Amino acid sequence: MGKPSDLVQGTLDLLILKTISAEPKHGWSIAKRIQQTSRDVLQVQQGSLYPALHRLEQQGWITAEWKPTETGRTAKFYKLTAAGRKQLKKELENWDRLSGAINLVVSET
Amino acid sequence: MRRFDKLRLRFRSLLRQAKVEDELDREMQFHLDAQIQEYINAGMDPEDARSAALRAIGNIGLLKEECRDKRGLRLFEESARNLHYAIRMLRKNATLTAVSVLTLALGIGATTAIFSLLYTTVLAPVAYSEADRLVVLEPTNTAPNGTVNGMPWSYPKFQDARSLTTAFESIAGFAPAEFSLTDAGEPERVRGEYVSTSYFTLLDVPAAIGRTFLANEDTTPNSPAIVVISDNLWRKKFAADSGVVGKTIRINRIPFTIVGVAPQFFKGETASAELWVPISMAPAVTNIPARLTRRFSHWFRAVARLKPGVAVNRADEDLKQAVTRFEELQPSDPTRQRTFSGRAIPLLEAKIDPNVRRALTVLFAAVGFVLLITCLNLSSLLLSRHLARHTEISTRLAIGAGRWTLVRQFMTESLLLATIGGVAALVVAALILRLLPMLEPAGLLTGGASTFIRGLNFDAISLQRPLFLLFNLGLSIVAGFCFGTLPALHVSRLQPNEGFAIARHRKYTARRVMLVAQVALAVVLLAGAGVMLRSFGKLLGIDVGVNPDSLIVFRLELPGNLYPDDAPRQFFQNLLDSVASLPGVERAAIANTIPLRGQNEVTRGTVDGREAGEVALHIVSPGFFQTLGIPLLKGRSFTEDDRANSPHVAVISESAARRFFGDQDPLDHTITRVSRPGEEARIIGVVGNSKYRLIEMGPDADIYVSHLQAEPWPGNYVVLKSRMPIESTISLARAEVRKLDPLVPVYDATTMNQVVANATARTRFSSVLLAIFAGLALVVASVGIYGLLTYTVSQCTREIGIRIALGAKRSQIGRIVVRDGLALCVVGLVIGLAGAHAATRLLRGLLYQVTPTDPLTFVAVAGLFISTAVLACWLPARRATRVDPIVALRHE
Repeated sequence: MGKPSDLVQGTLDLLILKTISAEPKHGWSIAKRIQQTSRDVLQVQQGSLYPALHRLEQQGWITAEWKPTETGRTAKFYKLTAAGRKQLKKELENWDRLSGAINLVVSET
Repeated sequence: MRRFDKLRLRFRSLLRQAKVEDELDREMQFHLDAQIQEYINAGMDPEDARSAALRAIGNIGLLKEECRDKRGLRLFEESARNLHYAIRMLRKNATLTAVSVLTLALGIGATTAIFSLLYTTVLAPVAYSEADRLVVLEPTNTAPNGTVNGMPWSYPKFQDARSLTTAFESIAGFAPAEFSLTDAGEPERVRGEYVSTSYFTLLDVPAAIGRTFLANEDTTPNSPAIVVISDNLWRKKFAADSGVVGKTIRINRIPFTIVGVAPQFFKGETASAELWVPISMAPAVTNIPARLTRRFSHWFRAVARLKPGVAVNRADEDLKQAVTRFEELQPSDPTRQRTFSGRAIPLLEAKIDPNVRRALTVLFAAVGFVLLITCLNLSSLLLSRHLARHTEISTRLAIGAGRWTLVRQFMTESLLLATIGGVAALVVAALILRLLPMLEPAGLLTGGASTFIRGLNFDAISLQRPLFLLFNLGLSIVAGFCFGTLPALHVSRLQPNEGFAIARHRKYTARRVMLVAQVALAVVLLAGAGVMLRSFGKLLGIDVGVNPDSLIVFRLELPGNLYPDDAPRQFFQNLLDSVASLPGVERAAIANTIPLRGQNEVTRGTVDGREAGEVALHIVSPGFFQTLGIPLLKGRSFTEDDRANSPHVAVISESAARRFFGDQDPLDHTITRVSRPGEEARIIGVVGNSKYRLIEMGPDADIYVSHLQAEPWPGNYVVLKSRMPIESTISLARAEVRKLDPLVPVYDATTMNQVVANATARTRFSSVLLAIFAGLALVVASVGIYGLLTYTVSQCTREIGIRIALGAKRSQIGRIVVRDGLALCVVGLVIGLAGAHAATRLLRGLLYQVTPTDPLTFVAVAGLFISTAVLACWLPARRATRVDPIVALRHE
């Protein structure tokens, strides 16, 4: 169903939450932002991005608002809720633990 | 809160579906446009950019579908579709649906009805504030042959207990009583209570109008003449006059001032009180001057409120010590053969008769069984119906339907069926609650007498209570899951190809197991009902000792203050003479007690100067034995010549004769009541035993004396043997009473047959209901057997056809089918009998002279069951033998 196979399961949520933590963004710019920040390593497909956004909205972690973009069109901007912020913190901790652990394993000589 | 938020979001998605759809479209469009713009910026021409973007984004429809899915919309859509589909399926199989709904309605309805009885009678909490701090205090009395509980207090002992205990915030006394109201119109007898003035404050029941009693208003005997009346009496006698306080009402002809009206819900601890009189007025109202000072006159009960934080067992200990202390100073039994103590019991517990609780629990379990059998049967029915749809199911599985989707669809069908059944069940429950009082004319308890114990009150049960509706709904859903889960799971486990080929030759193991379970449960119920019915039969067979036919009884109570000395005797003699000559009346008698009213005037006696223990005293008119049909076994009965100035004489019952004299001739021996030492009576006759207390109790030692000779007695039953119906006889008798004294109410009028019927009411109630439930179980289980075999035969038509074509005799075919069915039944029967052996123990205490595992009943149940099963097997077998081989082979 199109979760990028190189993304660890559940990491997409973390990426989305992190990406919109600074300021609200719409779907397109979330995808672009992830791509840019990861220097084109991580390419999020629409096929996983939008279902994930709708799921996160349903969970109550993000909310959406229709606002004009810099080009003047209106787009659906997503932003973190208080619960989302908490969730982001939790996921970040998890990620640190996990990546640290993986590092320990792979860097062992 | 989080969960609620999610639900809210989900509902928003559902309710504003159009808006959500629109937003989804716009969001996708925005993304697409952004992509196109990016491609154009990268140098593509607009047309190429557009198609490249469309390619990049993939299947938009699928993407949107997945977004909807994530919003949890699909489940709603699917549920709506499933519901629609389920309705169509149920309508298509109208007969099956009707049968299922009907059986469910019966099962759930009966369970709801019995639950409402069980709840109101046993489980419902006491309706007072902080009721967990309320306890009942009882004196107990342990003799070598056992402990007597549930005794009332005497006033001096109650006062001692009150002053010697520390665990209670306050203690109140109350006693059920009947009072004559003689103000206007027909004089009336109403129930009420004598109460200590702490009663209302202790229970925390404030007056609706005026006031209740003030603390310590009851310290001076025979004052104050004030009364609190019930809401009902206020409406009936005073037309709901708000200025009723200060008015006068005559109670036993003594004027009382009304000080308040109780709130509508309050009927006193006896649940039938219409008025409350301070206990200090009891001597005046009862005309027994020593009512409050006699230490051994036990006549009222005590309820107490614990101090906050005091546990019931601490209070119990406190009371026990108090009783022990005052018993040391003033022993109730100087011979010290009995030990006296006390106990404190939580109010709710004290109000529940253990036998009523047991009977209702058993009935509740029984209806639960019926419902379970119904569910098993439906489960089996649905399984075969689902399997009949195997082609459809296989097709859907083959083209990729999810198994859970199928399970959800089948579950929707079952739950819909259960919900319809549940709604119909409310009608059934209401009907049952309407019909039940027919089984039980006078309440489950002692003939409708006012008691402290909670009885069965059908009027108090309203199915509209949210609790019962919730119970009904919950039960329906549980039942739906119960009978729906197995078939749904079973079907979803089908292999896609199986549906086309093999499914119909499965061995139906699940259905067989369910059938055995049904049979076993039905057998347990049948055995329970059988044992109860046998007990009921034995009760009906008990010789009450009287001939109740065409006997009419009613009661009269004369106000003692207006009928001093010999006046009551005169009154009753005059009344007896006048009612004896009424049209249709063949014989008439009076007596202070009549059989099966649960009362006895117990006194201690000596025989030939020897201590003879407790005897039951009956003061009767000379014609009493003849009127009631009590046989004279020896000697003579009373005559009009046995009067106050002639030597005292007594007649004794057969059991008294046996107890006092063994095989010796009792005639001409003497018997004396300890309370009246001067009246040594010569025994002139022996009569047959009659049951005065509960029908299942052994006969007492009954002593009869003539009312012409004994002390005058103000309250008596009048017994008439009349060819006329009760209504006309009573109104004629009432007119005669009115001629003698217009202010004496005639009350408790009934027929002796009714009294006898009431005596067996409790057992009749349980046994008839159990029998109905067991019958229902038997029918449902038989239908199950029939259904399974019919289905098997129809599925094996081809096999049977081949067998017949190859020369099998039709009788052989029939035998195979019957054997197949009976084998299952026998397995179920054996398991059921084993279960019954364990389960019928619950009935102990409800049975009279029948052991819970009565072998005869068990054999009869087995016989009944096997014969029903044979019938249920024979019908499908007959169909099997009629299979035409040609048709059968073409059948496929």
